[in-house]
Amino acid sequence: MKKFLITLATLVSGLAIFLGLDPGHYAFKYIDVGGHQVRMYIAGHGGPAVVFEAGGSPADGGPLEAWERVQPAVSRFTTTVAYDRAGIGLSAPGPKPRDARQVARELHAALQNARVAPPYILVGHSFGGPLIRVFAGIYPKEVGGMVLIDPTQEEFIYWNQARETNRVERQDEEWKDMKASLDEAHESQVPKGIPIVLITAMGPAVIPSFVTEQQKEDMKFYRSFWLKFHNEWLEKVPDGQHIITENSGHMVPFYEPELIVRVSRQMIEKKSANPQ
Amino acid sequence: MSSRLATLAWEIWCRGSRSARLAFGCVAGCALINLIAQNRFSASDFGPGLFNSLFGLLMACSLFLMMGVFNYTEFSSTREWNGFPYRLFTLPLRTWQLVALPMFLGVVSVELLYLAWIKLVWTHDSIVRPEWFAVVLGAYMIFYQAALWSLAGFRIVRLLVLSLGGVSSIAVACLPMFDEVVPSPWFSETRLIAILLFLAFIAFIVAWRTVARQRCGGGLRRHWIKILLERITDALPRRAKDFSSPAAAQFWFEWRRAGLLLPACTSLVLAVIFGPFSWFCRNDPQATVDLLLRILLMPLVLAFCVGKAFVKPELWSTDFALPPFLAVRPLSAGEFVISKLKVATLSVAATWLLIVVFIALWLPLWADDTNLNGLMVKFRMLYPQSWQTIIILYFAGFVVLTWRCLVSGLWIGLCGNRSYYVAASLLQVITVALLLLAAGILSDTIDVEIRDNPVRLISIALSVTGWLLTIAVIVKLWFAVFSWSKITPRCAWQYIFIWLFATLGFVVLGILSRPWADTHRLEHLYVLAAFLIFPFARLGLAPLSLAKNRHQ
Repeated sequence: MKKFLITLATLVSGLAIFLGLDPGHYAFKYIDVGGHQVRMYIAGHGGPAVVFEAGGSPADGGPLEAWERVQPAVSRFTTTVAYDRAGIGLSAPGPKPRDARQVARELHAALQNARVAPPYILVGHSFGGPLIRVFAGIYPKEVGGMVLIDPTQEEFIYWNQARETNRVERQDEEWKDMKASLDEAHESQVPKGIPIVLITAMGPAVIPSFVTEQQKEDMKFYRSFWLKFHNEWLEKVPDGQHIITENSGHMVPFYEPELIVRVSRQMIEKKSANPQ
Repeated sequence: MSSRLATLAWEIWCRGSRSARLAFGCVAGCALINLIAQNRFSASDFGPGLFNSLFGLLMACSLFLMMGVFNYTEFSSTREWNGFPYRLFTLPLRTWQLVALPMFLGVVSVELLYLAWIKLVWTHDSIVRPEWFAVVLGAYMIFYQAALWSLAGFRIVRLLVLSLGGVSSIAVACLPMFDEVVPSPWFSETRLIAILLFLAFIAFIVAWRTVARQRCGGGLRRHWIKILLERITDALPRRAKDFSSPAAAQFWFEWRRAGLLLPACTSLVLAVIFGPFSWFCRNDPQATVDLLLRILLMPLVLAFCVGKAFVKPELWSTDFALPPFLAVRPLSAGEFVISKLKVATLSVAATWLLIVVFIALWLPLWADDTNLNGLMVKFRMLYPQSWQTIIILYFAGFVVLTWRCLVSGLWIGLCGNRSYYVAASLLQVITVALLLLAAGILSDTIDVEIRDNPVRLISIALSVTGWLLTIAVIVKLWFAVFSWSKITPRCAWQYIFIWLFATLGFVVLGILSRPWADTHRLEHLYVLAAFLIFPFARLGLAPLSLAKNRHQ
């Protein structure tokens, strides 16, 4: 029994030291983007590199762990980059205002300093959609394709604001940055000749029992307009492909990561077959 | 005359000087914390709440200690009761003086103690109506002593009267606050003070008369209650079957002596506090959430307190030596400990069954669960696949933690050394107090760091926590190697497998319940903490401690 206890103690002590050292921590890189550092996780080999942009507002969005179900699978066939925008997750805060152009400039600097060569396949979820559109508008030659996952469409936000007649305009900095970013996305030109895939989430497949009938009706109503504005935007894009999924709700990278992996693979194969 | 009274006062002081010093020590300690950390309270939002809880707890303890000092009774072998000390009846003092002096000293002491709390610790006006509470405390001291002496012959009734008196005093103390909600002349402080003073005077007269009667050889005692209870007990079905083993007999004995206490306390708290409170707050959705949290934490707090007595060889005894009645039993020290562990398991199971039954009745029947449902929706959205497993594992975790609170001190409780026991208990209190003190002193610096370098501070805090947990896990495991290698292999194997199974459950909980975007890699900390929850290392020393105690 003593031998068993010693073996157990040795194994668990080893595991404890392994967890205490936090080996995952060293997988991240802290890249300087002009005075402040952003946390980046680079994995895989080959090109074109897939760059993930998480959702949420430019100043307070999701960390790079939002891609934890997608990035490992995509890394098997190409280089992947996920990062925390300045002030999010474990990245240091950056200069203000935190609008989409600032975010794009920082991402560009980070990719250059991390020696991740273009072209990039940009994958943006939710508010990450408008952010990667602005990036593509500023650096069109460096973008090889875009995957917009249930993106926030500026027209939808404008429509929704117009409906609420008694609405009081938010005055906080976060909202101002978001609004500026949406306007910048609206003005951005989509680079010509690059493949674009837009995934609209119309799910979830199973609506939880705690959602009331009224909530279901509201969801249906808003979702129909969400889809309408996605359609309208995609009609303006020559090489656009629309995928409508009913298997997941807005959190597609969390509920349906395999769909994003499949789309990314197709885009890389298309880009490899036609480098121009 | 004055020298006789002084003799009596000196006698009271000698009996209770240790408790009195401890009570005033609590005030002094808290006053010191208040003095050092006073200016830092306002800097941090969470600081005052944290310190107020500690101060409140220690204030209650010191008041209980003071009540203990003036629990001025002695066992009378002729009357077979605990009442006013018979030997003092020979003092050349009038009966009213014999009664009045302890009462007067009791009131003065409790008021002085209260004044010290108000002036030295609660200096931020945290207590509303301090004068009113002083009156209630003084009056309760008089009722308390009157009940102790007047009901000397009625042990259970006296216990009930004292408990009800305590609860009623708390209720009476809250009455003036209702004046703001339901204005009534009966809630005015002046009228209530007059009533309390009148009742205190009546209590004094009753105590005087009964002690005078006892001094003359009289005194009430209801023998028929005792006879009736004995008859009822005789009529009840008794265990006729033999015990299958000495261990089974010990389990039966231990369960009746110590195991029932935790479920009994839980039932009492549920019935007296949470039941009525849940009814009064039935329309408040936030109160439902707060109350549920308190109900879930209550068994842990009770188990921590009951555990202090449970870990001793004899629950109700102040003697730490193993009683001869138990020492001569044909059981090994390991079997004694196993029977204690089994009793603790049954006790915890019964306790949590009561909690589950209460929650199952309360939530659907009279609780406003709007906010609770909202929280559940968010929880289910965060963990859509595993929320049921997480809830079950959390529940199991609470049960195990309750069990841990009950048994984790067995190794020190069974060793028979009072000093070790007191030192271990004090160490727990001092550690918490020092941590709070450090938090208070460093709160300014911490606030500045949080504002200026939030990422750095979080990183340092997580890193320190991670390494502390790592060291704790390693120490625990290697200490277990030392302690369990001295135990009979059969018992050790059983317990090691139980530990492995339970720890595996907690590791699964740690992995499942991590945040879905685990930026700070909390999963690592959860897994490390999972290894520490189930008691393992020190428990292995319990049979050795008991064996040493048995052969003293």
